[in-house]
Amino acid sequence: MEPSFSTRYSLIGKLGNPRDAESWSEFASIYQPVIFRICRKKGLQHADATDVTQEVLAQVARSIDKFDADHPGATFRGWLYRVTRNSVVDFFRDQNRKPTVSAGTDVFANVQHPDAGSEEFYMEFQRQIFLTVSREVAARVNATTWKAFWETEMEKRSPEEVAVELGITVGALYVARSRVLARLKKAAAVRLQETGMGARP
Amino acid sequence: MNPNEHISDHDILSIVQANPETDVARHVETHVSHCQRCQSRMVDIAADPQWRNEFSDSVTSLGIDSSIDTTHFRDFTSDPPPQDNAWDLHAIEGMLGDTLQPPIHPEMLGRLGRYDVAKIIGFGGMGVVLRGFDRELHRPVAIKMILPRLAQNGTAKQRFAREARAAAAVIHPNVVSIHDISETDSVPWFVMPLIVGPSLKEVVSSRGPLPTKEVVRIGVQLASGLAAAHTQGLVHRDIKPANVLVDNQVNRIVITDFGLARRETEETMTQTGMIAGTLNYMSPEQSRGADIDCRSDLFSVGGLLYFLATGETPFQADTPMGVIHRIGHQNHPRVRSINPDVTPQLEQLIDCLLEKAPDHRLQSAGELETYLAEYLAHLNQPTKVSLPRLSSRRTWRMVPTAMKTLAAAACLVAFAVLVWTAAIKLGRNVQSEPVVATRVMSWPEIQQKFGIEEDGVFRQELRTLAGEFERADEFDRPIRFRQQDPFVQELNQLSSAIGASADPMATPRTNRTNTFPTSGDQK
Repeated sequence: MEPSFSTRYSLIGKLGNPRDAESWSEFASIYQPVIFRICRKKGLQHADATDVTQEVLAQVARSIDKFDADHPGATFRGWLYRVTRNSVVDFFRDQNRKPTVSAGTDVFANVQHPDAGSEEFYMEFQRQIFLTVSREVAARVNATTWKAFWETEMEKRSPEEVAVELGITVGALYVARSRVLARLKKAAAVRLQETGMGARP
Repeated sequence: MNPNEHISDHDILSIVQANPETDVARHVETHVSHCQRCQSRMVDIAADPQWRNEFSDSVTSLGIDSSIDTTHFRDFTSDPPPQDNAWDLHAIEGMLGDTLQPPIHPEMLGRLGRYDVAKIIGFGGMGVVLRGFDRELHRPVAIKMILPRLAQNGTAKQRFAREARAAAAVIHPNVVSIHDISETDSVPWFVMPLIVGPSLKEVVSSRGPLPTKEVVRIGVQLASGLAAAHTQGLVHRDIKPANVLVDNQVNRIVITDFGLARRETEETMTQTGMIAGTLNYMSPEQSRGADIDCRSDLFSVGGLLYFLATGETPFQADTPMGVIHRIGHQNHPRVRSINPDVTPQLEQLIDCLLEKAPDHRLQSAGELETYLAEYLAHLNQPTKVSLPRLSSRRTWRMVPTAMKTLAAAACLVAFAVLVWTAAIKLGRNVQSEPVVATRVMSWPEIQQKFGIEEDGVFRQELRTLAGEFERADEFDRPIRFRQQDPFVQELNQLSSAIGASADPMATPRTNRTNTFPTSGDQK
């Protein structure tokens, strides 16, 4: 997983403004799986979902400089959602076909009614960010600390049991768990802010 | 400090905001170990319960949702890669990193000349298939590049380039076209149109057996494309539903993978490296490792039409050897016993194509095309157009007059460069060269004559990568070969000319007359 990111960074960083490319890359690394997952949930097959995802990303890349942050009422998140939605509609229209699954009509329905899709879009985005920050924080704390968090918070096991297993006191476990939680929450908030998602609607 | 005193919210906040590696005061640790109130408080201050619920729901559902593959930049990692190719995934990345120029659009992998390379979409034969975009003509393309572990192998590269040029020689709407052939840092690659649409295998898997008229309609196009390839001296050798794509955009079928264009592959590999399903359409002579000619392709077409009409392959068994045995020795189940809606005429045609002896089959793709076109016309207007008759099979021995070919070299990559072209009674132009006494050459002699390097490891690698089941003795058996064959001399020249880079803008038509002698009608 990670090696592919670093390879891509080295590819991308060779040309142009390295800072911008990296920002885009980081953004895209979250954005791409979101679109893909939404497509798959709508019943698109793997190949179709991949195509739509690529098309959407390209579209965003092409038109990102058209986003006018000063326009009253404009949020990046709203703009992003609209671009996504339009790309999906365009994709199906240009391909002149419906997806090859009967659930395909749902794709169209959701796409045609913007409000219905927006919430889900945000949820998937947030989900992906949670996943991303989990990986990041897990990589930065030691194994005991992470396990103290994961086994209790996610696996819902009893703190006493986990503490014994890890060879630490319950107090130390709770401190570790809380600290990881705090980090995750903060990292997620920063990410959401950076990627223009901001607060929930 | 009194360990029974609760810790203030303010202090808790400082504690949780600190670095996880920071030490904790002993009294805090002791107190929290026993105090449920402070335990809850600490966790809630770190992150409120609602956030925590959302978070744990999100992350665990992503784990559970592994059936919905999350994509990374390399999509194909969600398809289980063949064992032997696992190493190649990293090598390919490295190679692409070296070979591709940096991309203009950041979400792309890189650039190859005027093509943006978006991502890897699969493996095919000796190469990796990339999805790209032609910046000048503004259209999506598929780019096939030789696999990195073969990039240093001169023989493999020669063959790769040779296949590309040979297939580029076939220009036909039902055969995948080659736009462009080039090399970057001595890594050869070529460009094909990206075909949007399912393979025939996917079509039947999702829709079931097709109605007779649909089968015939597909058959006409298939035969037409195949005839063009045969005219150019190519036997496809791997005709199967997965290799025939339906181009949604122009509503026609396209024959692919003359060792070349392959979409995201869904074939599974058995442990020995065989691709399950490749065997099912193999002709009896092919399965025995005997001489192959264009009629072998016709057998495969019969199997393919059988599959389209019934939804099943004609020769099924539990093991690959079982399948091979059936192909050679057992008759296929009657088409109409599986699908009674199939017309007797179509059944008869399929039976004719699936004859075990090549002499008993329909003898050319052109003949097949003609028959199916007439049949289709009849199906469209039954009152106006009469049913065509399938000409009776004769068992006269073939008189080989035209080029004989060397099949073994290319068979590793599921794509024969050369072919037997037999004299046909039905009006094809034939080369009127007399048969000269053939001398049987052994494989080592052929190797020496054409300077083909032999490398046991290389053979094994190619075999595994190609995923084709080949009999071990195929390279040792004698091959009939005519010494003075001009076609062979041309091939020899071609081999040495591979080093010269072709002008990418030259149409294959220009090259065609130089690489292969013309014979028969050209489409």
